[in-house]
Amino acid sequence: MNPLRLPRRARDLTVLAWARLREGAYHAWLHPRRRCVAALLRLAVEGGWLTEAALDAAFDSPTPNAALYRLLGEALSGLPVWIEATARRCVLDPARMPDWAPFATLTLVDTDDDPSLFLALENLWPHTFHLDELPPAVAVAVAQTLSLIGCRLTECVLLRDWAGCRADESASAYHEIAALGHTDPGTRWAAASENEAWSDWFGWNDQDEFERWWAQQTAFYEPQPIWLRRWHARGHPPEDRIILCGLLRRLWRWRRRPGLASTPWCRWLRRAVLTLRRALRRWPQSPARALLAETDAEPLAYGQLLGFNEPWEATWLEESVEYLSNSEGCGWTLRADPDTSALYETLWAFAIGQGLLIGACQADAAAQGLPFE
Amino acid sequence: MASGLDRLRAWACEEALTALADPLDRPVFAENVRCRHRLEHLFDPLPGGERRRLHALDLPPHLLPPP
Repeated sequence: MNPLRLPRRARDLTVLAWARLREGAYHAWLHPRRRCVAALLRLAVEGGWLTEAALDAAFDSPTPNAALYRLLGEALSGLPVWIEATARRCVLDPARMPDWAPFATLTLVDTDDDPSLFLALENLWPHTFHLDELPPAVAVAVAQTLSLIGCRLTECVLLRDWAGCRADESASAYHEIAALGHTDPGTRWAAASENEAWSDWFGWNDQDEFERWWAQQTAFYEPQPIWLRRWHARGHPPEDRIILCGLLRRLWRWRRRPGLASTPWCRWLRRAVLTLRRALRRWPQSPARALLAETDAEPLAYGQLLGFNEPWEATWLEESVEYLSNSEGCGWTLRADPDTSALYETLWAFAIGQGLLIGACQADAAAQGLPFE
Repeated sequence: MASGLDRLRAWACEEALTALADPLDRPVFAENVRCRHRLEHLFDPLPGGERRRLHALDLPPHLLPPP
């Protein structure tokens, strides 16, 4: 080997001698993940924090794979900033936005055939809203709007619905005991304790334990606040478009009600309903549906349970935490698709929905006169 | 001429090539910000004028070069 051709300095070694080797290594790294990388780069271009000219320059560079890897770094670092800015535009008080960083992460899922991205919730985020003091129609409108946000934008679920799906045993036992028609607590306990199947399943040791269980079930199936009774009796909801038209009509009626239009909840409702109408026009179906893939992880909704400060909620929240502690976490597994803008639309809708949820928390805190943290 | 996004789509669909890869030279995950910063620092050291001292030098002051 001609010693004169050896690199003279360490910098020459890294820049010149290893360049081809490094480009090959980038190529090998990117190849199984190409569709993910391309989908993320497309997302960054559509989101506006990467330019097409930068992509062109990367392809024209002598080491395109290394240049694309570098762009991927920029795309990933710009992603949380973009999501946070999008969410911030939809909150009620943009100046007081919670720290987004520890909430959600996006990771590449390594599989042989179907590369995908996993949008994971890093923390559980249960929200409790206090609507009992509001006029019942406003409270029902807020619950309807929250439910629509969960279906259309970001996944979240009402704790009542989540608990209702899991409370088969409690529901059947409660309804059977109620059907016996005992109004006296003593005779009710006697009837319940005689049934060994129930006693074994629920493990009531004495009448006090049974009464606590009974009070929770009664609060669940026969809630006291008027708005919850209306919400509970709503039956099968109509189409989302029709619900939104109804909400808009009510908001129009309430605009001249003294002391109502300027309340934080009404301000939030206006913003949320108008945003949902725009979202419905842009996305007749939830954009996440096109990308969601089968996975072992729990749905994103399970990390965001929405409660209304009912007496039975604490038990079910504990239950949900225990359930999720044995799971792979909550999130969306999204197929990487660089051919369409589905990933951009999905994350955009997610960010808008998160902003509206944060806005609802801010409205709740403001209505109670508490600081939002 | 194809736009950047068209070229990206074509790149994503390219067939596998036999890549020249040194297993020791595989890039670290771009998702890890600390790794990425370290990588950028190693591969693209700042030019002399902009170079910053990352760690305090363990030298007595009289041995430091004049400012």
